[in-house]
Amino acid sequence: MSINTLTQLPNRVYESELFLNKATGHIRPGGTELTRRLVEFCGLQPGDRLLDVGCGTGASVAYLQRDFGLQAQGLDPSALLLERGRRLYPEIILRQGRGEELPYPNQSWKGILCECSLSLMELEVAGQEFYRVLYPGGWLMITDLYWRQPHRQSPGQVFPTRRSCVLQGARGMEDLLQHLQELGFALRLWEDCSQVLNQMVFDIIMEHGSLTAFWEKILPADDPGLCQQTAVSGKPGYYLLAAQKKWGGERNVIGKNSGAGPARPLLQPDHGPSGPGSQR
Amino acid sequence: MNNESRSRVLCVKCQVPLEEGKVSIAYLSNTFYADLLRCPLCGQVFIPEELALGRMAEVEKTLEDK
Amino acid sequence: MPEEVFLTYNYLSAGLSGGVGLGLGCCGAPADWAGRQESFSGQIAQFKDKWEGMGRPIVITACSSCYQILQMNLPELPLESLWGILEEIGLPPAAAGGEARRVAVHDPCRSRHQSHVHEQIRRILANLEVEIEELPLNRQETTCCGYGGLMSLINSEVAAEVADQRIASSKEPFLVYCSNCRDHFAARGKETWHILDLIWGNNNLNDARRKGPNHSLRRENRRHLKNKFLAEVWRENVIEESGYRTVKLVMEPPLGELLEERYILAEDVQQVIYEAESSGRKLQNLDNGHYTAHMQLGIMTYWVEYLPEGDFFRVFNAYSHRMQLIEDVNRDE
Repeated sequence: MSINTLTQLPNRVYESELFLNKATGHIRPGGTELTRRLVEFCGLQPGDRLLDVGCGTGASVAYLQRDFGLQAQGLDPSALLLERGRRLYPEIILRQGRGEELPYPNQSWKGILCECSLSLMELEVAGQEFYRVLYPGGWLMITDLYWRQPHRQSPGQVFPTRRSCVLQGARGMEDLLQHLQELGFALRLWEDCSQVLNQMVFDIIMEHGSLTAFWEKILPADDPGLCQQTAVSGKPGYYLLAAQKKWGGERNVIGKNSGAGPARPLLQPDHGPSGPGSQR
Repeated sequence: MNNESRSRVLCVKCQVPLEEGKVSIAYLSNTFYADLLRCPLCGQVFIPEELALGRMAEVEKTLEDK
Repeated sequence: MPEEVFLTYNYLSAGLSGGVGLGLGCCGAPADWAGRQESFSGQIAQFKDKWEGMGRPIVITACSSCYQILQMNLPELPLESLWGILEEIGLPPAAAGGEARRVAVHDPCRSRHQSHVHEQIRRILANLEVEIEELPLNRQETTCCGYGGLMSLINSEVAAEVADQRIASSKEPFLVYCSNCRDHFAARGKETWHILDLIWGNNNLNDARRKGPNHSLRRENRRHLKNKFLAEVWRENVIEESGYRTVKLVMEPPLGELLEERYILAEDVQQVIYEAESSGRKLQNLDNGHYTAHMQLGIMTYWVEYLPEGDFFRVFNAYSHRMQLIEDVNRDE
């Protein structure tokens, strides 16, 4: 499988020092508040297997392992962030990889967490992978940016650097929800939490002086005024959602645990261990 | 907080120099947290002019424009 | 000028029967312009209450904005323009053209639909033998002076451009009948008389060149005028200055201008210093010994850098912000 190498560094906005948070290693909107909300809503129990896709330095993985007793692991394409994470949180398991090609067997995870990272992936491909590796009844938990007023013009034309930042990949909600439904997920929770963006805006301005100064630093080739205008005109919002992989009628999955089941699975499927360090 | 050089701003009431600490700031039904100089005893905060007219003004404008 | 208000009131009292009251408050125009509906409605309701309390008198306005606002929002008010009243009772003896030999009349924006007022002004000028140059855009097509709608507050550069454009349309001094037009054009260097200037004999070119008061002085003037009326006309006791008004400030002129630009009033500075000195809550810069104190007034938080100097307080700097500090006592981490 292909792994993004360090040579692709300039394209990865989120790796920039500018997002560094002294305490956790990486800024993300909402801190732990949203993570907690999701995990509590989904009713995850100690010992449940949770995969953080796009985990960055693994701050959430550490948090979930420590505060909720989950069997949490992290996956991220950035060797740089993973290295930082291993130093900050030596107690957790981090692995390099992409959401579009999850290095895990079918139905091996109770929950998948995607914080401010889905916009960086090819939704169609990653979505299928999520579906594949989740248990039936398993949970897909997402927090991300979205446009409350989707642009007529594709933001890709404003932020030309491919996959430069979540703003480029963010979409309107209808689009995303329809996709999830088509993939076989049932939406159980959706909340707008755009308030958390304000703290991030505050932090960025306090650190860099202004949003345009920020854009100038992270996207030096692009027009900061235009970036700012595009960012603002789409009315960026932040949301969280929890969707459940439907029971019964499984598609791309071979396994024993198909067919209708209780609303809350009490036993894990036993068709193949997926312990730490297992290879595909 | 380790300040190698003690801050040059004194709280006159408490007669101690201000130190960097977490301060809450509210605006338009948001509450933010920032590291600013404040008196470790009575909590009185110091906002220098460059901060008030620079970054704070920028945050105010950005939030108001949304 | 403030004294012109005093003179006009006394003249009307003498010339009209039944008694003449005085309103020095606000019709609410700035609130209306700012889209602050609640605030504006409150102001209008207050005006109506006072009017009813005074026995529902005829309301005489000197300002076309007030006239338009009252006409639209309190249609039950019997409204008259001051200029029409002066035509009726005749101009005072002091009225003269003086150095205003030929003027260009700038009708205020709010007078567009008050064509009777346009004519009243022009008849008064003719009466005073002042020659009139009609500007290319006048009466119902008159232009903005740059002040109204709060333009000069929000975007002073554009406001200045708007004023300059109008100023360029005539070489003659302007004659206006709105105090904001008067001060706004004068600030851009244009000789401008207010019609009341001519009516009370302040008709030198120097009068036309005078700059309007800054924000702090404007408020001071209103306060003094009110006290003068209370003392000399109504013979009421004027309340002694107390509290923060006793704080005497001294500052270099450039700082005065800076405060004006920053929309910080002298009385805001007074309040901060008064509070700081009373409570002892202030900071000191160890390098230069200056005190710095702050206080929240309404939605603004003002910061003042100062030092006591005998009976006075010398102000070195002042600035403000809108974000609100939440200062807890004994707060750690």
